[in-house]
Amino acid sequence: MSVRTTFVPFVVPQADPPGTEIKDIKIEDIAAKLKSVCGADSVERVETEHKGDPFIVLKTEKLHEVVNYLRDDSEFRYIYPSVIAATDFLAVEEGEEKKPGRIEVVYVLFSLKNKHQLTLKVCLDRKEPEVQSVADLYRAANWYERECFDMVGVHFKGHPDHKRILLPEDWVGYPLRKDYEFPQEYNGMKVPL
Amino acid sequence: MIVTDEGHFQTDELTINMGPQHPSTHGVLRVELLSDGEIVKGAYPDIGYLHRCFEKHSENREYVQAIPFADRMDYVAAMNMELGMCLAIEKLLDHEIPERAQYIRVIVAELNRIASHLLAVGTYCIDIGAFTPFLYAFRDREQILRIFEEICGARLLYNYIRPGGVSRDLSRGMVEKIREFCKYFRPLLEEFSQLVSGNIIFVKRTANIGVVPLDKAISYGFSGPNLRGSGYSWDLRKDMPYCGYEKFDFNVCVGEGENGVIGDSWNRYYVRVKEMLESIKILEQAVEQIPDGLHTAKVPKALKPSGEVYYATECPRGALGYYIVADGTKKAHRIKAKSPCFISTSSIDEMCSGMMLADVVAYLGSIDIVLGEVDR
Amino acid sequence: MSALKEYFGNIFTAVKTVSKGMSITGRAFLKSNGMIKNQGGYNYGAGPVTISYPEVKDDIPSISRNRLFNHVEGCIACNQCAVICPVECITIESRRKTPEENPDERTPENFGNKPVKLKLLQFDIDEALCCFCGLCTEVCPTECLVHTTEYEYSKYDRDSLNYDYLRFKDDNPFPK
Repeated sequence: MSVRTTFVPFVVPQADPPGTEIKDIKIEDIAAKLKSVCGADSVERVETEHKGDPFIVLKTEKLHEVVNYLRDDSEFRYIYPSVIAATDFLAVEEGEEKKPGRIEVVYVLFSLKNKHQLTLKVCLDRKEPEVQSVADLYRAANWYERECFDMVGVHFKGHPDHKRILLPEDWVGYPLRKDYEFPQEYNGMKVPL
Repeated sequence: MIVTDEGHFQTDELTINMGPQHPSTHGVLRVELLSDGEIVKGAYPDIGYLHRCFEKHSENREYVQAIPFADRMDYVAAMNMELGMCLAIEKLLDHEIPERAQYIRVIVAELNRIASHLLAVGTYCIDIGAFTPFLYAFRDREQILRIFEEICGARLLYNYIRPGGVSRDLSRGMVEKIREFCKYFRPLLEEFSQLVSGNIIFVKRTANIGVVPLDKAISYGFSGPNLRGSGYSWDLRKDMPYCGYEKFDFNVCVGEGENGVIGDSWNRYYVRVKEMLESIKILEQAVEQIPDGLHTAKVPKALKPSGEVYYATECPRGALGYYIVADGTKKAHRIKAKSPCFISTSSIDEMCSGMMLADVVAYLGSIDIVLGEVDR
Repeated sequence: MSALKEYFGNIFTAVKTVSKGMSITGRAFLKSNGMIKNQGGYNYGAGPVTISYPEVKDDIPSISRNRLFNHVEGCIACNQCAVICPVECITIESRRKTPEENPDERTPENFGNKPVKLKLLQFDIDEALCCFCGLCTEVCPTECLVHTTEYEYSKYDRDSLNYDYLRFKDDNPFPK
C-alpha cells in the first residue's frame, strides 16, 4: 500500500477581503457576459419566474469553461463553493406540461467580494449522466461530486477518486433516484424494513 | 533488524486503522493512516457509518414531519438545524414572522450555540489529555439543557422551531431564568479560559499544528470558527443577517495569531471561547428587548410551497445550507442539507500528511466535527 | 551562566503556572463543600453537583416529553395522530357504530365533550419506534393523548414495548 493521491493539488486562487455590502447583480447581465466570453451557445436559458433563487442553465460541454471564467474573472470572483447537488426528475407523460425525464446537477457559487450567490444548472440525460468534473477548480468539489455519484449516479469525467462515499463499496443502485427499489437482501443478509 | 548498505535500518510503512470505534474521533469516523514511523504520510478518511438517509426520508414526509429528522443530523446543535430549515422553507412562503417569534428564535439559537461550543472545547481538552475542563464544561452545559427542558420539553432533540414561528410560547419566569444563567456563566467562562488557554502544555500541543492557509480554507469552503481562525472576518449573522440579528450589537471574533501562527489549532479553539462571550452579550440584549405578541404566524396545516431556494445560516460549526426543490405539493421534491462538517472532514487528507501521529488527534479535535452531520 | 538562569526560570514558570491551575480547582473544591459561594448569586454548584441517583431523583418539568399515554375514554378515533407521526408507530383500527351502540355518546367534560361516532377496536403505540417529537399530542383534538413524565420503563424484550392502550396493564404504577 503506498501513498495515493485523492485530490488534485492545484494552486488555489488568492483570497479576497470580504465585501462591505450586498451587491445587487442582475442575473441577465451575468448571462450576457457569459455569452460574450464563452460563446453564445454556452447559456441555454435563464429562469427567474419561480419563487426563490433565479438560475442559469448551461450547456453541458461548456460547464468547466464557464466555471473557470467565473472563478478567475477580476470582477466576478466566485471563489467560494457553496454546494453541488444532483436531483432526479422522472418524465411527465400526461397532462398539459409534458417534460422529459432528466437529472439536474446544481452548482451554487458565492462571491465574497460582491456578497452575491449564483446558481448554475446542467441538465443531463437519465440513461447516461456524464459531466466534466470541477475538482481541479475547487477543493470542496471533490467530496461533493463523490456524493452526487453515490446517491444519484452521475459520472464526473476527470475526477481523481471516483468511488462511493457514504454507502458501502459494493452497494447496487442509486438511492436518490425516484424509481429506486429497496433491496431485500444485502450480501446474503435480509434487510429489515 | 535489517541493516541496509548505507548503515541505516530498513523501515517500512505501516497502515494503522484509526477505526470507527475510537474515543477521539467524535463519532464513527474511520481514518486510514499510512505512517512511516511516527510521521504520517497519508490520512484517508472513510465515512458513512452513521448514514441515516435524511434526504430520502424528507422526500416522503411533509415539511412539519421532516423537522424531527433535521434535528437528528447535528444532535449537539439541534435548534440551529431546525432554524436553517424553517428559514429556507419560509423563503418560499409569504408569511410574515411576528417579532416575538424572531426574538425567541434568536434566544434559543444562541443558547444552543453556547452549549455546542462548550461540548466542542470540553471534548477537545479531553482528547489532548486534560480531564478537568471536560467536567467543568459539562457542568455548565447541564444548566442550559435544564433551561431547554422547561422551554420545550426535551433536552437534546427539540422539535421546537416550526415554519411560521415556534411551537409554544415561553412560560412566565423563563426570561428571568435566562438572565440569571448569563450572570452565572460569565465568571465561569473566564475561569475555564484561565485554566486551559494559557496552559503551557495545551499551547505546546496545539499551537502551530494543522495550519490552514487562508486561500486553501476558502477553496475548501470552510466557514464558521474554522474560517475565522484563519484570520478572515466572515460571519453570516453580521454579513448576510437573518431573523433579526441586525438589531443586536456584537463583535465578530477573528483569530489573531497569539501563541502561534494564524490558522493553527489553538486559534480555532480560542475563537470558540471568544464566541461564547459574544453569545452571552446577544442573549442579554435579547432578553432585555423581547416584546409581547404572538409566538407564531397563522400558517395553514398543510404547507404547499413551490420554487427552488438555497439558503445558508450560521451554525456553531459553520455555514449550514439547505437546498430545497418544492413542486407545490405537501411533500418536498428534494431537500439537500449542506453540512459544514462534511467539508472539514474532507480536509483531513491534505492537512494531515506530514504531521506526527499525536498531532492528527489535535487537528481532528480543533475542526470540531460531529459525525451525525457528516453522514446525515 | 545563562544556562543556570534558564534553569531557575523554568522552575519559576512551572511553579507559577501549576499554582494558577491548582487555585482554580481548589476554589471549585471549596465551592462544592459550601465554604465559598458562587459569584452571581446562582445556587447551582453550591454543593456537590452530582446527585446519588437512584436513591435521590431530580424533579423534571411537567411538559417534559417522555412516555406517551392515551386516555381511551376521551378518544374519538379521528386518526390524526397516526397520520402525523413521522415514524408511523401508532396503529389504530375502528369501525362504524352498530345501531345498538349508543349513537349520542360524547367524551367526558375534561376531554372536550365531543361526539363519538366510531368504535375504537385497536390503539397500539410502539414506544420502541417513537421518536418523542410531540407532534401527535399537538394535533389530538380532545387532548386525550399526552406525554407523561415517566422515563423508567425499560424492558428486556423489544415486543413488550408495544403498548396496547385499550388494555393497559403496566408493572410501573400510573404516573403521578
